[in-house]
Amino acid sequence: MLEFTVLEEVLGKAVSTGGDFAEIFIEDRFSSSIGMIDGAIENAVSGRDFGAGIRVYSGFKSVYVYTNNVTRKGLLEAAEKAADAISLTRKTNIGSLTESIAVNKHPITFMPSSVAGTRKADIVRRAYKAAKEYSPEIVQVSAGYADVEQEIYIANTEGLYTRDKRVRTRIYIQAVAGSGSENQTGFEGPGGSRGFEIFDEIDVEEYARNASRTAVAMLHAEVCPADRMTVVIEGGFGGVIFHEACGHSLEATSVAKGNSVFAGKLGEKIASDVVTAIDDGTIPNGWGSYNIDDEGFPARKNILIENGILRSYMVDRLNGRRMGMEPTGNSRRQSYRYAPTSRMTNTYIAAGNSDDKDIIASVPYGLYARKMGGGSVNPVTGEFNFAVAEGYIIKNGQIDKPVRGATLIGKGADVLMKIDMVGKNVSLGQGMCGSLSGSVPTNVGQPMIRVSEMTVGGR
Amino acid sequence: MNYGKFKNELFKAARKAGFKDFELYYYVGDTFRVGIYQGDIDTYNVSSSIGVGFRGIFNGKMGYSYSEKIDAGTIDMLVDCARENALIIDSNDPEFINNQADTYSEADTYCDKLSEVKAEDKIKFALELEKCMIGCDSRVRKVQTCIFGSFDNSVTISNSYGLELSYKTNGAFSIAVPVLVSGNETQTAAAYIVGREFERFDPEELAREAVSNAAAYFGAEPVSSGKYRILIKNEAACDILETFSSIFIADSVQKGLSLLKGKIGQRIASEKLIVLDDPLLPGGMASCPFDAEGVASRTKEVIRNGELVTFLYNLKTAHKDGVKSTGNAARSSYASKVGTSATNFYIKPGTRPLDEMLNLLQDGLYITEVQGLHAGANSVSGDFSLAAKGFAVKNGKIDKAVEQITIAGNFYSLLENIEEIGSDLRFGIPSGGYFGSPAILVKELSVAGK
Repeated sequence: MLEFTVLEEVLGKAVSTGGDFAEIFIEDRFSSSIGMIDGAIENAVSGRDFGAGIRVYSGFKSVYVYTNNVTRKGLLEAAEKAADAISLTRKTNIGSLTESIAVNKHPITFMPSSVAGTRKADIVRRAYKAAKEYSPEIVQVSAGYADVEQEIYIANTEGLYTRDKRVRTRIYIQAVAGSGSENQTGFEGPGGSRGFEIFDEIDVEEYARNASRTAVAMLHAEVCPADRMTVVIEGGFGGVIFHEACGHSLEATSVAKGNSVFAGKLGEKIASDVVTAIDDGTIPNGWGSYNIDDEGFPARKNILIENGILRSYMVDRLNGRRMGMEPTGNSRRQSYRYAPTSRMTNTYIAAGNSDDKDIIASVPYGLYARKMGGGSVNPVTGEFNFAVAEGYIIKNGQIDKPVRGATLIGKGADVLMKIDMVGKNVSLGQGMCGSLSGSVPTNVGQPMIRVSEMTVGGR
Repeated sequence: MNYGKFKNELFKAARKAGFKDFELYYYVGDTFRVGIYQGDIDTYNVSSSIGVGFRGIFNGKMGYSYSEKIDAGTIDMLVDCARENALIIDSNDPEFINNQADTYSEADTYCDKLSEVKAEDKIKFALELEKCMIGCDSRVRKVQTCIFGSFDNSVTISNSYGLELSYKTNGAFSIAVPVLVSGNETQTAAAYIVGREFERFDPEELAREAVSNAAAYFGAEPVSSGKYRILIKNEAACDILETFSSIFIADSVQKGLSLLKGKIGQRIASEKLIVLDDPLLPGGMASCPFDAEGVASRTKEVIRNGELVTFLYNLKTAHKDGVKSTGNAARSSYASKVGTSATNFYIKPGTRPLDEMLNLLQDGLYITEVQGLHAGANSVSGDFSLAAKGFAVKNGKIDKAVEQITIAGNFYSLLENIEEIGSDLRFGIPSGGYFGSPAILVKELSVAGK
């Protein structure tokens, strides 16, 4: 990496026109991906992303310049471009750099770059085979593998120099069940901040069969009715309800400018008593975990909501200035091409006191959302949506017929108050979250929960 | 870096490593983006980047690699990775590097005037945009998004058959999202403009569109669940068309991920529907003289009077179906494999303006926005269930605002149930392809509300 003298020179250039803070973020990332469909490995791509981003702040204003030219000359040019956009007469003293490296809390046994491509391809073949052989109604399976080794280096005008290496591995399976005139799909995508050892820990074939099971169940399902209903959401990826209904609206990205329904509500009751929600970037080897965030702050376990009361937002440096709050270790970016902002990591509703069977038994008529797809939200108004990937009608407290094709909608402020039962066993599901600073890996999670009423967008 | 020198050394190394045919894809680009908040520059991002993508056929299989770092070790890394990747492939589908000579048409991809617009003028536009939003309605409390961005990039493709092609493209966009408050109610809406002619960007017009879109939602409530006649606004129709456009891609069809298999020449939609894919469309933001494999671009009808005319092909999928490539090879960047994509893909407008379309609707819903397309729409099944907003329409006139509803249906049925197509063609924000539609009148969709 570049010497401290060069980094300090670049930082100095960046604040030479009156900026009060500057940071250099350098990323060197190696990724590989493999895709299989129609019974054969069809494509394999691997390569190297490499670049640097320079941020300069002046009060609440920020400038961001990124480049692939990570040399003294290239960075000085970038710093100059950034400095030109901030032109004041103030002079900022910069601290000299001191290295401070966090202890790695996410150990990796087998680095992806040390594993031959053929072994990765074999995992994909196993997943493909298990999904395809589940049922003759499975007409197509698309299976894939992806890994990334990302090295980042951060230097800033407060004298911080730090670095981190993030390693992530994921496998995903999409199964298609078809009848000739109709198709339905099922998906599973387990992953973690792990190397190849993840495949000793997860049952690849089980995930693959689950994807196919969903597809076949939905092929034989009726369309979901369009109605307002009691909804029971299974644990794991069902946590996307919290991610969309509440999570984004607690990111300083929206809260700082008052563009969130939960802005100005610290200490207030924003959810029912049975809701405690946590964002924890420290979960060992969690899909959304890291040692330090993309500004160099250590990852933290943040209790966002405690028994319904709003306790904390997720805060990054810049938005923290607006809010008068300290950063919480949630600052993330997809790559050096993005300025960081506050994002979620591993976000989940904590375990409650109800037994799963009691939750189901409590519903005279409603929807059991066994698997969820993704969703989205407008944090300003709290309007959110998320898709049910596998659903069942609940009748007289029993799971009844399968139903397909429904999106659940609502407003964050309402739906959180309507969660009235929370189960005991939390599980987490992996996803990719898109927002201002790009796409980042996040875990969502929860135990099984019951929402007393939601709009179910069936037919 | 010296492109010619890099290419020659790379090709030499590739031949030595045993690659039979190969291709280099080289990208150079700049971006600019300014965000305004409370009368001042809030964010200001500029970038310049380069990237190279290499792919080659080794023992009949195609391996890929890419790099953003160009140094002494890059060529070996590209060749070694691509070779290792080729060895993993076990598909027997033939792969191709373009060896056909072609004649290329001019495509409208670059505006010199835009490249000369100074940063100060871009900033001035964005500042004016926020000022207009706040000034045009007292209910505008603040602005959630007020950005202006521009990009300028070039792509060069060289291959082992001596193909050597290059083109450059640029463009600009602006997005405005005001936040309006009236009593206890908050409403937002987005307006955007995309194009190459900066002189046509009018901050006042854009501001008024965003603010009036948001203001119209005050008092919005859900309607009762049931089946309704639906008029889909042009912008919302673009989004839906984009989400389902993959059903027309030959690769999806061949792999059983589209229900259009075997339907070329058959009626799959209302006879009023004509859909075009036109990479040579003047002003098209996805215009290009050639595709990602260097095959010449051409205009094509995908649906004509409701009949499916063609799928969209690249060299590999065209060979499988025994046809010629339609020039739709695409890659999302130098870092991705070559697939297929629509280019400027749009529903040909009819003759009826919006008020006539509302009159034809008579009683039903005018849907102006849909959300959750990445999750609530499934191009493999065709099913969709989407959060939506809009207006109730009574006797052909807009009545009350509607929100907190979903619209649900199946895209294949929707195509058949199109009753009329409006004249107000509009394109969405480009992402890969550039998708356009006028307002669409649909016989029936299911709505969930109260």
